[in-house]
Amino acid sequence: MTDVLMPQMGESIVEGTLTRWLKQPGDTVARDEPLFEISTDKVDTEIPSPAAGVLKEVLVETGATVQINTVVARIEDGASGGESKEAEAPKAEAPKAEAPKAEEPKAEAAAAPAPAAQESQPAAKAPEPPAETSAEELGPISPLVRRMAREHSIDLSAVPGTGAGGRITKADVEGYLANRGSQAAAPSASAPSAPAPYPGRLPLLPAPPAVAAPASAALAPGCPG
Amino acid sequence: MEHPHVVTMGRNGKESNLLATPEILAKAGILYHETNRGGDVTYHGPGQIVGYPIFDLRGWKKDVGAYVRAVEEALIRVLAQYGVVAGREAGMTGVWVNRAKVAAIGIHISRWVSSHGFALNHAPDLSYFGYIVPCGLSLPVTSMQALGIETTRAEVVIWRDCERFWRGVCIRLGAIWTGAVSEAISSAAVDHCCSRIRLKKREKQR
Repeated sequence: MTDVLMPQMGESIVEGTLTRWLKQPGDTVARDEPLFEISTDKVDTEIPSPAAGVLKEVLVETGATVQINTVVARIEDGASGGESKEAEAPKAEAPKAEAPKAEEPKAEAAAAPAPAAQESQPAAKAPEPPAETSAEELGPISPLVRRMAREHSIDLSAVPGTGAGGRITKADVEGYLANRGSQAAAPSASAPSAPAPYPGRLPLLPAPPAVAAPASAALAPGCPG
Repeated sequence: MEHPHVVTMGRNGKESNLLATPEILAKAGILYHETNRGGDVTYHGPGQIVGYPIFDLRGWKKDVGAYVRAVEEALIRVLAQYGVVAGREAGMTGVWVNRAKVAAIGIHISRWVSSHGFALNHAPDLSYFGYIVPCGLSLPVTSMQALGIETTRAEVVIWRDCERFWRGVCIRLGAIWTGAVSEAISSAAVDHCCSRIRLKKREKQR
């Protein structure tokens, strides 16, 4: 007998809604054959069967939301087995409080440089634009450099790094700031080892007019609420 | 791509969020479909820019939440090119400007390969949203046009999407590209962006 568990679909995801059973009790399933569908955060996912056999019982009904690692069904026949776990998922409750927090920093870490249009209006009240570029693109950024970039609305991807491995140093940012007025960010000659500017660092297009976005004008007529 | 007037119901949709019967929709020239994407009811139609990114998330990270955030981020950056300060609303997937939704997201994942995607309101007739409660939320929808952005669809699609949008997505997804995405995307731009990433990775390895 193999327990079928509610899978974890991502670090920040602690529960899922069972939206549809693709097999009914008594049906034969092959290993990896789609067995049910779950929904999390606007994402509908087909979940493959962990084992081959006969779907013995369905423990979670369509429409129910359960914690990850909850047993949702059992499959009879030991053709594969080995995936069974305890029916209880004692840890499932714990991550819940932390999960939403984990989500935000992650989105930011994955974010790339703030587009210039946002730089030009730092006072705007929208959620803080992700000012940091991911390590993947720029390497590690020190908190100091990050803060300087934020304060001066610098797109760090436009700053040539001269530190170890092309890392952007405080001096680089200062140099960039000094340069910014006179010439448009000519790469400093002292950065021969810096990676070639990524296409993301092209000069931005002429900024389109900023928009105040009056919400009232934007309402869909007849839209409830 | 661009759809004709159509109302679609997601997997966790509630009939009550459809404010018109399928018959009424049909009379108004609106198609109705149930789909296997996540989310509730939504509307697609002329003036929207709809994209269906197909990615193998195993090559990136097996995290559907992070994928949704990445698509949102890419859209936020496209809008920022027009001076629109768009962002997220806690707990409500999509891209928002002043608590009005400008882009909707609904995803389907099978074996960690994504399908369905996003719909960015470029200049649709917003009155069509009156037939539904978009995504089951009582918040308004808006569009780039309603926000005062004067731009042609071709400009948004060809220049912004390819050069910025997909570059952004490629970065986030580690340049994993499993198939054609939509006619809106020039494969040349994607190749360009993905090959640059590979190049950069090789440089790093040295």
